[in-house]
This record gives sequence, structure tokens and C-alpha cells, in this order.
Amino acid sequence: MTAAIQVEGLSKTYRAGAVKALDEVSLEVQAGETLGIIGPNGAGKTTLLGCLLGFLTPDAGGVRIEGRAPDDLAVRATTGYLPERLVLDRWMSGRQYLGFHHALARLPVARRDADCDEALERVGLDAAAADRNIGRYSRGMLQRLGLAQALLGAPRILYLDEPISGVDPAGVLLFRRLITERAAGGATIVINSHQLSEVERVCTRVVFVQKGRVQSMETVRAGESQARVLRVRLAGGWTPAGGDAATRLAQLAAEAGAAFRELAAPDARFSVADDAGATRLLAALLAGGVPVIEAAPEEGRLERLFVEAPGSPS
Amino acid sequence: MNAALFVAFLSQRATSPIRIALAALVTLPGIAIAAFSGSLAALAGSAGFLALVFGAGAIGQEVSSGVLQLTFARPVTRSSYVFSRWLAAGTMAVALAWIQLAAGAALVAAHATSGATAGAVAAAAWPLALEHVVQGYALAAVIVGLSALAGGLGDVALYVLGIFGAQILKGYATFRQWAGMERFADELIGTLQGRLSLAWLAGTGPPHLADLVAALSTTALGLALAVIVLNRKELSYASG
Repeated sequence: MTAAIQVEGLSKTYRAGAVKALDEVSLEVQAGETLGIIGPNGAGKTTLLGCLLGFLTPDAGGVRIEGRAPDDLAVRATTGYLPERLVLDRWMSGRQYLGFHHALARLPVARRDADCDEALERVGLDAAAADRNIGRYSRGMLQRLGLAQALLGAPRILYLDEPISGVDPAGVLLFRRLITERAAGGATIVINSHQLSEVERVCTRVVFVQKGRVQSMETVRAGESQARVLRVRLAGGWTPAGGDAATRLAQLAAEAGAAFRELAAPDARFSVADDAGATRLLAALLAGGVPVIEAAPEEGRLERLFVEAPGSPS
Repeated sequence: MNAALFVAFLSQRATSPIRIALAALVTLPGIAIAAFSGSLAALAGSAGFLALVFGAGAIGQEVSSGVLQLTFARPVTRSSYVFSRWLAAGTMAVALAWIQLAAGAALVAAHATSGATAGAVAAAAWPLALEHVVQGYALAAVIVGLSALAGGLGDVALYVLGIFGAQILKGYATFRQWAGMERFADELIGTLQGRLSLAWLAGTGPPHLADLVAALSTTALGLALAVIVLNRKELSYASG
């Protein structure tokens, strides 16, 4: 794979250097990859996105998008962007707005009406909503229209800043489906979001940014190497035949390649190496006659990134 | 120039009730005064004022609101954005000023008692029509330039401050008998007001090419200022 986005030694300060927003950030996003950027407020995520879009001039380092500068018009012709603070031209109707962006994106005039209708339909805005002034849109409708404009022309590079902020559950499902479809279509997608579960669902890799630096990177879907703590709830009153419950659980865990951590009835906690390890552990517990009624990871991998990050409150 | 930006800006301005009301306040009384006075003199300068009405906030309002981010995420150069805004504001101002002039000239001609007077109206109208073009686009460039400097409608405040500042400077320079400073302040006022007379085109006096050159250079300066400022502007709501 070739790197669609290359960031090298990127530094950016505000207020004449008083605020360091990015500190020598380097990363690569491969073509077709969906990258999530997560981190606490003020970590530098939006600044990073601003540099990727060519809106901000770095103090040091640089960004290349498909080998070009981020503000190169050829790059922008194949870029879609959904900002966090979505401010649209409120005096236009939704349909006019999409037509306007279709023209700005230099997409074929002959396809304008068809493309706009298709985009509106895709995000679930009906004809009445499409012809209504944007000033009368709800937050969720604005977000849907924003996503529709970002997806116009099936961009190769897609930047989404808090895409599901203010979106209802049906909208979240829709957004997830559209993002996944675009990813399947080969687009390189960068998502900046606080919605960790959504990031975990749609992204193939996640970078955790804190204090302007990339603290860690995680491969999400191929995350087998990521250990986790599994909480297993047992039916009340269970006692193994001829022995102590904790000893029996430790024995079964060891057979499955996992580690028993503690038993605080009715919950037992185990460390597993990966998803397959969790499956093996559960199979071993059930085969060993342990009455498992529930099993859940204690926290998502991404939540753990926050928890385990240097300087985190926990 | 970007056609989509040009058309969108025209549409936005044409559907703004406040701007339309202000434009009506400029054009309608002018027509009435021309009709009653039998002279087109009252219509001079209206293109400049209309350019201020339609151009105010051309860039600053979009910078403040955050709309520009989505525009510049598209393959749009900042200079083409500036030129589109300027051209749209200027065109709207000139078009309305021409409509005002046509209506005023028709009413003056209708009240004229002889064919010779009607001919005189036409002779006075066409230099004024040209004046509207030069002045409308020049002041559109001035307000677009100021709009790149200030957010929201800060350009109007800058414009008013500029006029008042230059007037005060001129008064002080006159008082202190600083001829050079007085001349500078006078030129600044002329630039900001788009002072221009092309009546000499109708053979009413010697040519004043300096005025024309000054208006053209004002246009170029205003646009250059807007392009330079906008090219240097960082677009982000990031705080860190």
C-alpha cells in the first residue's frame, strides 16, 4: 500500500509559541485506511486536522497528501470534509447548498441534479427537507446535509470531525453505514471523534493524541495483540466439586492460556491476550462446568488508552 | 473568478432584506430628487454607496461564521474567492445604480420641455453611467479589502473610522498648515469615498485622468489587500 497521508515532524504553536498544539507529530495513513484520531479536549486533534486540510501553516514539519501539498487544488478536488462546527449557508435550501458545493468541487454539471438527489436520498433527507431553507434545519438534519456535501463526488480522502455529534441513533447507524461504504470504496478516511465506540467500529487504526503528541497507535480490527480484562459473571452459589472456586477458575484459565486475576462474587476477572484468548477462556469455563451467565470486557481498547495514558486522572 | 461563488454571493445579497431596504433607501429618494430638480446630479455617487451596502461583510462575515472552511476545502483559490466577491458586489451596485439612473433620466426627460433638453439629459447620463461603473467597482474593492481585515461587519466600522480619521487629519493638517499631510488626507478621503467625476467626457471641462487612474489604483489596492490578507489567514477553530 502507498501512504495517502504523510505527516512528518509536524509542530504547530499558537499565541506566538505560548501554546504548543502539535509537537513533532509523525504518522502515515495508508490508502484505503480509516484512521481515528482520539484524545482529550485540547490535545491537538483539530489542529492536526487543520494541518491535514492545509488550513493551518505548521511551524515545523510538513504534510503530504498523495504526494502533494495539502492545499494543492488537485488534492482538494478529491477531498471531502465535514467540520465539527458545522456552519452552512443558512439562506440556501439543502438542495441549493449541495448544488453549490457540487459546482465548487468542479464535478460535472450534467450530473449535478442527479448527484444532489442521490446524496440527499443517501443521508435520508426527503424532498420537503431538501427544499427547505437550511436556517430551519435541526442539528441532526444539518449534520446529515454536511455529510452529504462531504461525500459528493465520492472523494478519495475524507476528513470527518466529530461526525455523529448531535445525531440521533438512527443517524448514527446511517453515518456508520455510509462511512463503511466509502471505506469499502477505497477512500482514505480520517475521523476525529470522542465517540470511542464508534471509532472502534469503523476505524482500522487509531492514534491517541495527547498534549500535541501521538501517544500511541492501535490497530483496531486486527487488534488481536491487545490484551484485555474480561469480567465473567457466575451464577450465584456456585462451588466447584472438591475444591476452592478461585483455584478451579485459575486452573481453567491456565488451561485456556489466560490468567485468573480475582474472584469477587459473583464476578471473576481474567486477563486474556486477545479476542481469540477470550473465546478460548469462555469455552474452557463452560466445558469445566462453570455457570457463566455474562461476560464482558471491562473497558474498550480505546477507553483503556485514555485510562492508561501518561498523566490520565485514573 | 469562480462562477459558483459569484452567483451564490449575488443570490445571498439579493435575498437579504436589510441590504435591499438600504439599497432602496439610496436609490428611490435619488430618483425622486432627480425628477423634481430636473437634474441627474443627485444620482452621482450612488454606485459607491450601493457597493458598500452589498460588499459589507463580504469576507469577514464568512470568516467569523466558519463558512469559509468548507469553501476552502474545495478546489477554490483564495484569490478567485476574493475576485468573485468583489465582482458580485460591484456588479450588483452598478446594476442598481444603472437602473436608478435610467429611471431618473426617464423622469427628467419626461418633464423636459423640448427635444434639446432631452438630448442634454442623455448627454449627462452616459458619463454618469461610466462613473457608476468605475466608482462601484472601486468601492467594492475597498470594502472587500477592509472585510478581509476585520471579522463580521467590522469592515463598515473600519470604513467609517477611516473617513472620520482622515477628516480629522485633514482638519489638523490645515490648522498646522502642513500642506503635504493635508493633501494626503484629502487623497485618502477621495479614495474611501470613491470621489470621481467623468463629466468631462461630455465635454463639460478639461479631462481629469488623474481621478480615473486613482480609482483604478484604488481598485487594485483593495483587491491586493484582500488577497494578501486572506492568503495569510489561518482557518481553524482549534484552540490547541
